[in-house]
Amino acid sequence: MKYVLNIQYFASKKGVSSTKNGRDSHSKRLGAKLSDGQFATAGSIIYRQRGTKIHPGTNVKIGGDDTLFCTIDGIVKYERLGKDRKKVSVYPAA
Amino acid sequence: MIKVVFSLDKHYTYLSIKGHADYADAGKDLVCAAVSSIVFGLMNAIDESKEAVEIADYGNKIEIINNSSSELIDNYFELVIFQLKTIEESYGRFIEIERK
Repeated sequence: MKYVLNIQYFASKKGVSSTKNGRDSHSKRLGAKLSDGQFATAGSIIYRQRGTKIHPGTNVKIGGDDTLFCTIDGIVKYERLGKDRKKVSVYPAA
Repeated sequence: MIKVVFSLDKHYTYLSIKGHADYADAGKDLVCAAVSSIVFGLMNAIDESKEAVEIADYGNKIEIINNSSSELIDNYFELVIFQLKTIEESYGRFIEIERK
């Protein structure tokens, strides 16, 4: 047959545009892993972050990916650092 | 909206179908699919008949000019117009048929 059916010949051409969006990376589950007042064992992760939203305080160190972890067993304390920053410390349980 | 225009004197002499149904996005437009199937079927039937009929495809408009006095072509036109009117009966917001 001469005329091959285009079954959407009289359709609007609007719907055919493709979008360049629609991609996203897997979420990295950042944020607090231990909250204020919780007991933490040495080496446990307190906070996962990118950059230093929260700074390391007493008995807390920062990993290569900015993760905060404690170096002793104790109670987690979120504290202020200067005017507008925060830090997290771990103090031995009384 | 798809606009259908036809002329009928002693014979059907002209038929044009143009526009977009806009019933849904391309690929899902049921009204467009129905109309396209009917019109392409007519085009192939006319082509096979070898009668003196001109078919022009402008990309979003089909125009058919009947220079013959063939009863067969008249029957084809009549059937197609009935089919399109049947669609218009139910989907009048997406297709409109007018006699010129």
